[in-house]
Amino acid sequence: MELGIYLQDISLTIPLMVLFVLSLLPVTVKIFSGNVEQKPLFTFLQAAFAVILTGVLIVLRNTTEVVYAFNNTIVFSPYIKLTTIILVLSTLFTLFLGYRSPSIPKNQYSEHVFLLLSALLGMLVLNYSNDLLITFIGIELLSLPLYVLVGLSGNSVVPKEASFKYFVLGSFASAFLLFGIAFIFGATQTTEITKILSASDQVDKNLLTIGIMAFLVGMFFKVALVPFHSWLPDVYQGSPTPMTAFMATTVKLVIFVFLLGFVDVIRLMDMNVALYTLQWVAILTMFLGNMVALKQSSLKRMLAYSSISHSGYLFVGLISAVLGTGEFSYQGILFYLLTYMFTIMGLFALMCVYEKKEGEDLNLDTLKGLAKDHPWLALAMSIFLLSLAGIPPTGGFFAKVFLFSSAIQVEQYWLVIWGMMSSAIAVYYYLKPVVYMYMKDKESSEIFVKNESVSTLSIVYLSVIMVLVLGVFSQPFLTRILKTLI
Amino acid sequence: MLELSNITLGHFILLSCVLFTIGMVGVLVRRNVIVILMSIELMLNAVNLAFVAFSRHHNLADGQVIVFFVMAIAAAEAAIGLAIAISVFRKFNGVEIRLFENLKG
Amino acid sequence: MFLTGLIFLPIVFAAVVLLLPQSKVRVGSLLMAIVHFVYSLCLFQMFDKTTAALQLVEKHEWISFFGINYFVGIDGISFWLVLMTTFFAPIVILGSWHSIEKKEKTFHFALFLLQTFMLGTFLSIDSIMFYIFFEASLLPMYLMIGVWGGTRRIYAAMKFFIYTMAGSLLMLVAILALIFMTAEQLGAPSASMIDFYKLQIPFVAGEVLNPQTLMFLAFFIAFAIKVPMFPVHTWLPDAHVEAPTPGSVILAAIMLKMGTYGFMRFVIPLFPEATNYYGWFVMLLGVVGIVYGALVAMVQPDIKKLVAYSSVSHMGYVVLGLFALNIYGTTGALYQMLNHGVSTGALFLLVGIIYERTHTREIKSYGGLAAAMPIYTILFLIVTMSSIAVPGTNGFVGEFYILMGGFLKNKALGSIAALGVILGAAYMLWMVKKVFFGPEGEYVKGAKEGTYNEALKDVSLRETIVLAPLIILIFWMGIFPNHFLSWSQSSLDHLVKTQLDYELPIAQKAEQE
Repeated sequence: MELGIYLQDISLTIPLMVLFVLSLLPVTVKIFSGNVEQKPLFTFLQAAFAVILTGVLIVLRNTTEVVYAFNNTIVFSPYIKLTTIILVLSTLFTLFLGYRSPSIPKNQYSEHVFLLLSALLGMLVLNYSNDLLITFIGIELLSLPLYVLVGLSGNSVVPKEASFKYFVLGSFASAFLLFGIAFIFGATQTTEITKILSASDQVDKNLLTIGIMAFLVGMFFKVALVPFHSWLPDVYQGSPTPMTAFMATTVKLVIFVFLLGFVDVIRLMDMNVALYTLQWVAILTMFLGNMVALKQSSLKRMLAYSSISHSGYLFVGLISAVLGTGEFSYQGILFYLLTYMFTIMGLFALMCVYEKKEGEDLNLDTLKGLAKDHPWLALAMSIFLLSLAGIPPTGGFFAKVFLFSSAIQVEQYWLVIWGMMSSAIAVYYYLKPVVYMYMKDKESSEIFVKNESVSTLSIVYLSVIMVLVLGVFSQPFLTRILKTLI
Repeated sequence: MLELSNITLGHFILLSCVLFTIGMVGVLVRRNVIVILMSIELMLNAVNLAFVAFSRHHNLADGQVIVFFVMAIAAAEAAIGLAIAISVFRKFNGVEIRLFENLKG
Repeated sequence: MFLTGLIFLPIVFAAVVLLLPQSKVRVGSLLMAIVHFVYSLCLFQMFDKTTAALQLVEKHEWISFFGINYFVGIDGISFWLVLMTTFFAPIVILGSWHSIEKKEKTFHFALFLLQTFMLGTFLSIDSIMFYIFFEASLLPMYLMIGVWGGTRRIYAAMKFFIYTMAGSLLMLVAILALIFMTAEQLGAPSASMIDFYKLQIPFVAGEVLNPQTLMFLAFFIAFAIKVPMFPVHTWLPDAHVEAPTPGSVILAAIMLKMGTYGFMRFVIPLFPEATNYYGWFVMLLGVVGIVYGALVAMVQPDIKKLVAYSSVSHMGYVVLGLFALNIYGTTGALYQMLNHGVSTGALFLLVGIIYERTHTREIKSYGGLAAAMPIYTILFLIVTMSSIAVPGTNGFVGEFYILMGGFLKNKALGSIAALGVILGAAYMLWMVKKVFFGPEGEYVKGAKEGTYNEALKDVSLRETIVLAPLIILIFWMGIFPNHFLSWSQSSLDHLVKTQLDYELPIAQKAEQE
């Protein structure tokens, strides 16, 4: 086996290197100017430039086939290209949300940007990985900055507690991941994913199943599937709103995208034992997420629990991908992730708009009568909530349709029925804010204070448009996704 | 060298699992923050043991190389964990989790 | 293009409403609704009543991966439902002239959106499109009840929305399963009903777990909630009582018909064996609905709730007729769907009129109204006769057909249903007596003594204009039913005769595309 650095290796990882170097820029400038922050606009532009440049470099790379690098530990394919672009977009949106957000301290903006870009770097590494070790590195590179980002918010104690909780449970999950990798290595003598797939015949099935199961448990923690979900509500509620948006969209996205690519390995498990467990996880997640959300009056917490239930739906799609052969489940999950990203991003952007000072929690009561004062924003919020509930003609409806059809295709009828039932329950809490906005009247005569930040508002409107577009014109997206899967 | 042929792969893996479980229980049960961080390190090192054991069993170097990576990452994690712990407990006098009251429900 | 225009024109109107100045909103939307209705009258020109095939068809690819297309068409079954939808819009707008006081623009916006969604439901031939419109129509109605409704409006609106949505989610699962079946059996996936009709769905009598029975159940539950049938009718009384008058009228007149329309479009033709096997049970539920609805109506102190339960009772007749599976029952059911719209719509409008004056719906506060408001009494009595199915009114034709059909199929159920007619007369006439005749209640007394002077004016010109078309229809439909039935006859014959092997061809006339 030749060890050396080839052109291929460098050309594939140029975007990563560029991102790394550029992410250091704001912090370096800050250090050299004696710990004085640059104007936030400059920092923001530098960061945005870094992200966009990375994205452009990735897009520019022409691929029609799967390419390996660094001795088969990194892989790049049209599918990975597509998913990476979505991740880059999502991070860009988070940058927009974080710019001049009241919940991110002004004197730590450079650090915030650096950590965000590092998290993006971790996601890219995770996405590119073809070797479990690189996967682990990617996950850690993603999670460590995120732990800090959650806590980076001025003087309030709550985010720091959330950060600590996230750290403890996240590291716990990483340890499980590692445990899984160790056992997979023990069973198949390799950590390279392609080699694992081909060596699957002569291995000790039990060892392999334990390993994959432990690995999946680690992953379940990261996307908060039941029974590993307990960190999510507290962390989502405690962190600054742009970071919640980032976690809810991008992190979930990258983990599911990775799992989707990992499906071939998951199939190696002993299905008689494992399938039952997976199904129960899905059902419990969908139900628990929706049931507990019913009682929440804090909007952020409600969205946290709803996020859990959406992980459940996505997991149903993942199970279909495991059981089936079709590109259809892939399309379903990716389309769902895309729609979900826009919906949640828009929703959290709206919450950023109404955040007057850091740590202030949007409550259902504060929403009363919003429709009268800010009709368009109220409409936007309603559209996002309807999309989350899966009510036509928003994108969320079609996403659910595609996802559940892929489950029907592999005859998981019970999963689908439970999914539909929990969707019906969920409608109640998704509609509650609509009720408060439109049907109740304001109590005080205070005018709603709107954070006039252009960047945040633009994200709101962009997301609304995308949610509706995805609903009416889903075909082009589906075709695009399909093209990358061949 | 002592005769080691009676200690098989299984023993190592068993030890690794036991250490892992001890660490896991430590994270979930103990209230002192420093002890929690230590337990996380214990879990990671238990896995390191597993890697080395498998690697020896298959006569590959891969697992042992992985151990280096893991150790580096564990160090980084510990650094961040301690930093976060400091930022949280600056206000309190002790390092007990009991003092977390603000996030409930 | 005609049908697409018909469906989406109200969206354009909705946008226009937002741009109109506040003072002109009502007039503007009334004019637009009338224009829409006149436009729909062109259907009389364009529809060929001699064929049962699908006419005025338009098909465009939408989500080709799944076989979901934009596919609309009209046949005898949907013909009158479409016309009724466009007919009621101006009536409702005129009827709610004074009763909607706040946020008028939003109200009319919601109304026009609702029009689009309802028309879309009746005209879709693609099942996913049908589902989308079916679900989407819940939203404006939910808003209408929730914003402009009575005291418990939020509870009622939520109940309405979630109840209906839960049922239709089941239907969605069945539709998706059907799409996969088309992929298997016909080669390519398709969501259009025409292709569904071509499917062979296996059925095993006596077992529940076979495809046809399960899908039948899924669709049945969804539509049963919508109709509403006993025992899933509990959302209706709350929704009707708390809804504003225009909302109640549209809910009763049109939205309930989506359920029975669904039966005619999906359940009966797609699952013939299951329908034949379980039909007697559905008929039984229908009869239970008739009797139950009537009995509960009799003890209601609130007029609107009484009318709501009478709706349950009337829709029980429709279900009975439909599942009798003969030409009499089916014809009667379709006719009764129209009748119910007219008479119950009129009833809600009448109740709204009196409510606007006195702000109470309690029967016991009325009494002796006939002396104070004679014309109103006459109108109310005419509508009551229609509701009771007195010969000469439209109600009689419908109910007669249904009873004939039901009796032919199952003598026992048919007889009980016939007795139900008596119960229907009982509660309506009892209510009429209490409200219009009999000892004078506080309002009439008050009017006479001068304290409530303003309250009990007789019907104004506007209110008469609102009710006049309905009254005319009551008699026209009662004396010349064939004017109406002839348009639907071929489709109904086709449905009944070929039920076991139902196929819906597309008319071979040259289309405008």
